[in-house]
Amino acid sequence: MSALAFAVRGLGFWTPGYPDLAAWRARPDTWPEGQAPPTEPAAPKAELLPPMMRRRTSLLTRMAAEVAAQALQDGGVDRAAATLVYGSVYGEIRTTLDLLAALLVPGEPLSPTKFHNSVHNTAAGYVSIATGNRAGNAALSAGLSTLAMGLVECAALVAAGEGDVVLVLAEEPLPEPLAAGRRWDPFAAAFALSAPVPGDMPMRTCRLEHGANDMLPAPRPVPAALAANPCAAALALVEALAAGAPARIALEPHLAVGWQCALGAGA
Amino acid sequence: MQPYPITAMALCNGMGDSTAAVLAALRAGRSGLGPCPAEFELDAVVGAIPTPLPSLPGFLGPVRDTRQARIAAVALAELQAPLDRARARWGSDRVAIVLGTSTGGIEASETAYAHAQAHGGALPAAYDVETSHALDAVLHVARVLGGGLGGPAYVVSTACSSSAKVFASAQRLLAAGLCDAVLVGGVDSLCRLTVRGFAGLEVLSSRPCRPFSRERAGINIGEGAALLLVERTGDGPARLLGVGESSDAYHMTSPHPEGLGARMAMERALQHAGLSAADVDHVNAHGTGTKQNDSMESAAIRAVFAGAPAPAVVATKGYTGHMLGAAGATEVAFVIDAIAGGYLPASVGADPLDDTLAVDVVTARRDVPTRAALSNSFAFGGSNCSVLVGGPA
Repeated sequence: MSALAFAVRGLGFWTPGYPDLAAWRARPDTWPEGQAPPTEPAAPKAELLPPMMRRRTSLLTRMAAEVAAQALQDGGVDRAAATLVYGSVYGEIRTTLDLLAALLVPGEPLSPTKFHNSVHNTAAGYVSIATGNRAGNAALSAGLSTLAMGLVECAALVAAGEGDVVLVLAEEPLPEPLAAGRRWDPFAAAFALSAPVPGDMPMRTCRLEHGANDMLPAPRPVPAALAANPCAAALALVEALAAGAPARIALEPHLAVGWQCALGAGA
Repeated sequence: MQPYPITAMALCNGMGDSTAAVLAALRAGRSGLGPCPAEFELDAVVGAIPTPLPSLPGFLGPVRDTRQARIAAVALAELQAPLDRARARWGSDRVAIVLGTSTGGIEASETAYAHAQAHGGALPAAYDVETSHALDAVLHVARVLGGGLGGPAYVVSTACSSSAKVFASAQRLLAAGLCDAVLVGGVDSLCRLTVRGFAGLEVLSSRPCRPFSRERAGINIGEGAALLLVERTGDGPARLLGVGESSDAYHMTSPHPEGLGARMAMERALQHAGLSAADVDHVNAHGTGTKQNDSMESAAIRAVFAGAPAPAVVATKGYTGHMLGAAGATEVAFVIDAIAGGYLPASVGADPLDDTLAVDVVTARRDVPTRAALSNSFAFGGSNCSVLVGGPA
């Protein structure tokens, strides 16, 4: 099944308090008494988007633009030519909630900007405009399997000879009352991928496989508020890729048997 | 690309609640547009499924019993036999699901949010954001009602191109050996958010839409499902020959004025299939009923077919309204019926044509064969997709 192999060329990461992968990896596992984890910066810079455009976008779109830019730069990938695949479970849910509230006011016209900013491919649209990228892009959703299915879609794109492919995962907090008590921290990660070539660093070469999750070692602990994010499965993958050691990562840790990523597997 | 057979399809939309009813209306040139059902409290022309939708089987739970899930269930029921056959032939883990939806369960969230506002923040008992609202909720319904489909399963949600792009994903999953059959398609339900959203954009018509007519006045929203089975090998009425995807990189809601992205999508579909424009007999246009779309899509078609015989252009949103995330797959299914039946459906509402567009729009049914046809879908965010379908080998 060599069609399922790909090399990771670049990574992107953002969550409040940890604006990039280096900051995230430098965190302590436990905080000394009296010290709390950082919460600033609370919003990504998202400098890939021009200021006038950025002003109109949600936290979700800014997170997606931020990590996409990081992974493109880290991987030395042409941002106008790569195929970007976006994954999110709830997408632009906070903009959607604003529209649900506006619907209750009889006769009030819906804001056209909020309306087009509520679609699942909002970030895909803004990033393509900001980068002049005319390749196809996609926006996916698969519940807790969004990371796994995003990588399946990307691996199939790589196998089809589409060149550089970037998976961008982003999830913002669910708003009340829809959340019904579910709470998590916002988080985004991106992976720039392409076909493996001879001479690739073996630890950046991945193979998608399907198998039992029970024997896999537990990943490094993360704060509970982040672990509750529906895209949290990406945390362990980012960490393992950054560490550069052979590993097998569960992409669907909520399942007994599911998709896994074997790192250091060679092409 | 290697062509893959499309072995089965099921439709329900404003024209009827079964494939037979929908296709009979298409062949007869009978529109499914009408006034918006009273429960939506909207003054609009829509393509609403004309019959009451049966509730979901009780074992799926009340939190899954949304209008979108019910529409999906109606189409899935028609695909029982082909899905049973595909599971027996390939194994359930080798049957993938890739579905398009634009709004998922937002219709349920509209009701739930209104309820919460009136009841101190409490949601209705039959609502849960994970199973009633989330875009992927429809996957569980398809997996279970499909008899237990265990392959990769995901939703593509790129607004109005969603269920055209699923054909690109399906083709790549098959080519990469990740599965042997894919249940593809799109499902979207009517909701207040899209009707009032498009009203806010000032593109909603208060009369039935008339794509490519000089009397056009905007779009209507529709609902429904189109589910199709694409397999590695097998017998069916049509074959998936190629898919072209592009981005306008121009504007969030306005298409590129010269149709650059639309043109790229059609050209990439032809290139993908190893065919030229001369091999294509008809184009099922995106044809929403706005002047902007008619003008840019006509320009794109003229450019792609420069030097080849002009293709017949068919616009079918006058039958269904714009089904958003279900539009792409529905129109691919219409192309398949045109190929199988040796006819081109009338573009209802197109007469009198806007002569400035200079494309051959089919205003009355023509009984002519189609070798291959392109089906176009364009969306917010500048997302474009063109699906190339041909007859059996």
